[in-house]
Amino acid sequence: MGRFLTPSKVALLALAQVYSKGSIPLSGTARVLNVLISRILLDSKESDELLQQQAGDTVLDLEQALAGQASAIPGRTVWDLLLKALWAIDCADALDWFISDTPLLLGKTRDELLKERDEGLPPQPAGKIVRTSPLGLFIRRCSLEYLRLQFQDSTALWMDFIAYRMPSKGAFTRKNPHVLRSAFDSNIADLEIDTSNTLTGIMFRRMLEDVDGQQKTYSTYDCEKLMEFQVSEMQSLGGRLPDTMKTTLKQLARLGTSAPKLTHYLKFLDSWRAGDFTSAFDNLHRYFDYTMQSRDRTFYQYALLNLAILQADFGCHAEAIPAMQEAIATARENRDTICLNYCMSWLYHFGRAFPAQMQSIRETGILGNETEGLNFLKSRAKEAEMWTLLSTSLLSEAKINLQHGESLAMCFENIVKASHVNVVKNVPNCTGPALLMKSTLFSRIGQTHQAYSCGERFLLCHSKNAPLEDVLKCTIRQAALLTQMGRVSDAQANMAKIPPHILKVLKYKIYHTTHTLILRARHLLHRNALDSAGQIITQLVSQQPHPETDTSTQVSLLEIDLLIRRRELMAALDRLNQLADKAPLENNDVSLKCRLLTLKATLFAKSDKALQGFSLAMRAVELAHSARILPDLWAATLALAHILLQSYEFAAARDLVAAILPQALECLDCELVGRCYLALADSYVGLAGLAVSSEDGEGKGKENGKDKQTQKQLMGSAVDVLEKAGEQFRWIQELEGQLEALAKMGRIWMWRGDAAVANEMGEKYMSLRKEYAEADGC
Amino acid sequence: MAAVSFNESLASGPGDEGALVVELRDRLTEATIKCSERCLYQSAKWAAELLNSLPEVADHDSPMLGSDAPTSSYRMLSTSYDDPQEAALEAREAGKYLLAKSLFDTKEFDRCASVFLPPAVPAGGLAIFEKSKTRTPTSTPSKTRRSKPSETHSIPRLSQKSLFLALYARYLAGEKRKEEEGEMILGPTDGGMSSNRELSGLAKTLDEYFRARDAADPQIKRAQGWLEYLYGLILARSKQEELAQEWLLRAVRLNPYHWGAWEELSHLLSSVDDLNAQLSASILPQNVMTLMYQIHASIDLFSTTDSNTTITTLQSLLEIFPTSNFLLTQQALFYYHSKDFETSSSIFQELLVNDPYRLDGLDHYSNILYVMTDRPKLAFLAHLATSVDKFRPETCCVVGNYYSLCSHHEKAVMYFRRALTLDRSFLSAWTLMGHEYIELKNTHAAIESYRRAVDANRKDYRAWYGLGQAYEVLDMGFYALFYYQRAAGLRPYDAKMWQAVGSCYAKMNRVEQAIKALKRALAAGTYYETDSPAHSFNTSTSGKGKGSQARRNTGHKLLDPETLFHLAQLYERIPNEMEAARYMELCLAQETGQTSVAPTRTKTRKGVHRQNLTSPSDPPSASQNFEGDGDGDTEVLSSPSSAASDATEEVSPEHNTIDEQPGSNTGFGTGTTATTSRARLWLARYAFKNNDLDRAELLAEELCMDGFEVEEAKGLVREVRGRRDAAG
Repeated sequence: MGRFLTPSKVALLALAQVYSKGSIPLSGTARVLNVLISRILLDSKESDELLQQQAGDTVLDLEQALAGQASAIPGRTVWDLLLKALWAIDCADALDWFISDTPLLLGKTRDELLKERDEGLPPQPAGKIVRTSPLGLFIRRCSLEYLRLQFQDSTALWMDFIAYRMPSKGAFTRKNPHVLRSAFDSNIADLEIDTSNTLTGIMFRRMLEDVDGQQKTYSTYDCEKLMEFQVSEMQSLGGRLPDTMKTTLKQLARLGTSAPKLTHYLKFLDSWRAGDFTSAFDNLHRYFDYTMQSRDRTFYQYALLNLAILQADFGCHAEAIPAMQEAIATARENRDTICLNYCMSWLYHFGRAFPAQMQSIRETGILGNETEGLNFLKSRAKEAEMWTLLSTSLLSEAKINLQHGESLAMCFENIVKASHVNVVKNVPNCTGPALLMKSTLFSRIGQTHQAYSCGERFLLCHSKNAPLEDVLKCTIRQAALLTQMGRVSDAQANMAKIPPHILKVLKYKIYHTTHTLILRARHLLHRNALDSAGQIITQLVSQQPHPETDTSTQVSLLEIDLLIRRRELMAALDRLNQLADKAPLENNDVSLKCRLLTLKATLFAKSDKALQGFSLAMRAVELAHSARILPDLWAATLALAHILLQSYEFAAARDLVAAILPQALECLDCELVGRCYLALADSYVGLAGLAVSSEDGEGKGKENGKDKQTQKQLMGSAVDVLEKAGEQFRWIQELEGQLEALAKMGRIWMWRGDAAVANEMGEKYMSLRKEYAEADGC
Repeated sequence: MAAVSFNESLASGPGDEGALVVELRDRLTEATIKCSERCLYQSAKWAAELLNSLPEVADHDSPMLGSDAPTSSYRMLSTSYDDPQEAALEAREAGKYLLAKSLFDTKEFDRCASVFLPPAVPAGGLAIFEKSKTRTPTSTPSKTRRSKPSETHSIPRLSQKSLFLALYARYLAGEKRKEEEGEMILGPTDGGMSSNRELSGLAKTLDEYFRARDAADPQIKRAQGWLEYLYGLILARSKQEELAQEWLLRAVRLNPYHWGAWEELSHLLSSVDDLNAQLSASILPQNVMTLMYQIHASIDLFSTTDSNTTITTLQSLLEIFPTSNFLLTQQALFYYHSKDFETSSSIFQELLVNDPYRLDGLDHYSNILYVMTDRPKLAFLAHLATSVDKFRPETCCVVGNYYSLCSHHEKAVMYFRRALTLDRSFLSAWTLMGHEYIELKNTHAAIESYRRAVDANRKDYRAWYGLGQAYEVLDMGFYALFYYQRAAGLRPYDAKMWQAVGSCYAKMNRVEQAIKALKRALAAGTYYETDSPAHSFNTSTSGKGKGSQARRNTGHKLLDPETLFHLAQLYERIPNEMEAARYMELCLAQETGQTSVAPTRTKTRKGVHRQNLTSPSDPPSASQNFEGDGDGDTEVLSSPSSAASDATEEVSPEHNTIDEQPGSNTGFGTGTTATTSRARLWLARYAFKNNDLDRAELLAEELCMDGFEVEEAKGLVREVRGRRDAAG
């Protein structure tokens, strides 16, 4: 494997020659230059695939790129001219001439120009390509690298070149039938022997070994570029090695050439993502062992950083934190700001994810408290011009603001700041996370459609550059939102649509599976298939603790929901209390606190001890209101309304529910809306009852007409509202709610004396129940 | 001819061709086996190659072949079949021998030697030890090891085979240590000074051995020739060349099919005269190997006087061994030395196709391609050689030559160094590296390289010439002259050498000698068909390629205008204006190729040549003969007016046609060049000075037309007209 030169680069030189000879019409120049430059400038990270193909460009790829481009010579395309140039190189010496002559394409240096002017020499002819242009640099580099080749390497290049241009032989001989003497080497034709001779066998042994002819030639330079690109992709996106890259690596191994050291690092990243702890560990050590000699100890902090991240990822938190602390110490010692900032940022996020593990860190006070830590990170990021870090820090601040229930304006400000940084400093891989954050924010203030559209935007426009984890999270969020809106099948489709390369990472695969199960369990709970749901929930619970506290909380909530549906209210209450005890340690999110309070109040309401839950509900309302968590506020208010209903304050309940209903509808939460409607219906019925009970309790004796009228009207609205509730529940396939609405409607119709309709309702009730049971039974 | 008579003498039976082949096959088989038994790998390879180049035995011989097979296998088992005493010894020590041989094969030379010659019982005995202790106080470790006294006749009773192996192993161990001391090529410790410290000990041992054996066996009946060869080799390495030659001759007489001995013998030759003396004194055995030796030696000596004998001998040998790579290589080298590059390269090309794995001699092929400036072929050859084995000195030389031709001199030096690291005695690499250093303007390194080459082989005229050149660069004329003279002595018919000598003399203001030397150069220049000064010396001096190309195309006898011009200038310095003017005229004449003497001269030259060939036994007289003739030539040249008497008639019609069609003259002459223009200018001035105004004007106008020296010529024309006006 050569250091830099490959046959495809020789072909590019030939193309440059064709270009500089002026045989390309003006109209085609841009295209040809595009072909050239896109293959020369590997640093300009256009896209993955271009780079992939770059390293092992075949001559046919070049043909495709140049296809049909006419040249200035009539009847000849640029491709024809290029072929002519390529096949003009008929022996090893011709290749030598060709490459040694390429600097003639270049313009003169300043010194040469000055010398010419000073000495008054007649201007010598020179090439037109500017020496410092990308193309000029490429040509200079090629000729320099060629000069550095040992003889056997230049022979190897020659043989690779023969193999490289072989596919274009047909195209060349079609246009130039009598020119070609030998497809291999004109000297062989001179000797008048054919390719079966021993001589050719000896000389082209290398090519004979490569039987399939599919082998591409790589130079070390290409390899390094390719791997650097791959590493940066894997590091920034968190994915695994794509299959194409894997085959490339295998090819390299088969070539038996010394692959760059970075291979070990790639393997480390790959096996880490694959969840293969031992291999990852092994490869990491191997990489740093091999690179220690070439780079020196200054890279120790990176070794430690990688080690810490690896250990944390595999759950060895106790090991990870000291490693990271040492990494920080080393980075400080070596004044490696970038590494230090990475370490700090990681430590901060780690602390956010696992507050319990951070006791020692908090005690040493490396980061101070959360906000201090963030401010520190922000200022450091700005100093070191690490814009990605700055952007993520700002987003983290917004997240903290949300969790602490602080001012919404602050949150928005931070998000806008982050977006500003993203745009001004061109940090494309943070645009997605900013949108994700925005989506969370919107859903917190009840703007579900906004939240949904933010998520969609992320997935549609920015998923390519965003870390895979964020893409996955966003997809799951979208699915959850869809479920909430009652578009269950869409949600399921969304979940199934996740690109397979994300799921190749073990961590994400587990995350995805867990959340699919959570969604499924919720769905089953709605459908009242309690046994199946119970099974899934048991599974989920058995996997505790989940790597994400958020997930654990969700599972716990599901568990409580199941218990409630099973009418095991005591158990549910116990579970709830447990969760409430644990929550502040793990996840001090205001929203969770609010929801737990609401849930507890609801529980009391369910067990007919509504008044016990009154203060809880009031606190929840207060909390949600101050933090502006609107969906939770409406849920808490609903709980309050239930308490009011139970305490026969129907009018107050009705007013309350009627007041929150429009906003609740905005939230697009079918269950919440359904429950609101049910509560409203209850309040109507209660009011209707009150309208007559002022005289005669529950009896249906002789009321005055006006009261009757009011009663009837109220009952009518109750039915309307119940129908709406039923509709909402139908969307999310909530069986219990639907049945409740039907039963209540049946009762009202009974009360109205329309037995037929009541009967109909009854039948509907039965059939619905049967239908669901059958569907879930299957 | 002579070869046939040798063949007859060689075939003991009737002069049947088949019997000869069978006999040769037997002898060569035996030689191969014996050489490989003694770990003389190169000689074994040589013999085996030759064996396989014999034509296949015809079918009717097959029963005979069948009867042969058991005898040859018998010989294989016991190589000393004709000497029962040796056979018994060999049988006794068979186990030890096998051990020693395998140790030798794994390159553990010291251990191999110690199998038969345990350090406690040194082979040299006490006598050496005592002598060495008194004479050389700095005793080597190997000697101290042998310091235990033992009885005088201490050589254990060994078969000659085992003794040879043991001593040879010790010799090689010494060589290895010597090389290791040198460390890096041209490094601080690599002065070419370190010597093989085993040599003196070995010489004494062998001396002792032979003295004892000669006493026991005065008729030398039991001698096999191997130990004699080793003794000769050791003597040659310790620079006792007379004695070495004697012992080597003894070795080849006893064992003619051992090529190594012949090769060693040929290294000892310092000139053709030595070879001829050897041949004439009939001290060489009369067989096919002598012929081989003869051609090898004469080609090695770049001998051109007896080229006809060489080529006929070669042809007759090729009849016996039609596909011998060795002989074909020699043939190619022969053509190379006589400047027939096309033929030579075609032979090499054939060799290449027939046996592409064979790298031997390819460095010569690369030299040929270099001289022909055939870059594609050279690249191809380098590619092939690299594919076969990139760590062979030959390969490195080929690649180095290629890079030199591409003007990548640093890389070329790197490859030559690599070649030398692989094999320090690889002569041509030293010389070529010297050339590269000259190109790199590193004169001191160049001198050292050349010196090493010369030390290794005093017959390499290119190294001598290079040394001269290097000293000329350093402005050390006397040194340069000395080396140029050495080169010219080796290549008396190479114009380039004489030119160098001449210019050296001229620089030292020894004009007379310079003139003589340049005349020699002129005479030598017409000697070769397509001579070009660049051919003999393959540094890539600028414009050299073009020059040789042009010259080859003409294929005509032309006198070198440069030399003529120089000669004229020298005459001017004496001062002898008449002669100068003559030479200037002659120089001008080369433009149109109207060297009136050329066709006739070739005839005479060829006659002389043939004359020389008819008396190869008498080289001094031949060279004298030639020299006299050469002087005659130059005399003819120096007075063209008299020479024209017989030549002008012949040439004048041609001359006329040329005058009529000036465009067509390019095929014959050199055309107008800078040198001839300068000659013309000189002549114009000369004519002007002598008041031959018309001629001066004519010449000056010609100059203006040709576009050389235009300003000067115009000035001259003006002056001429001025004087005319003044006169008229």
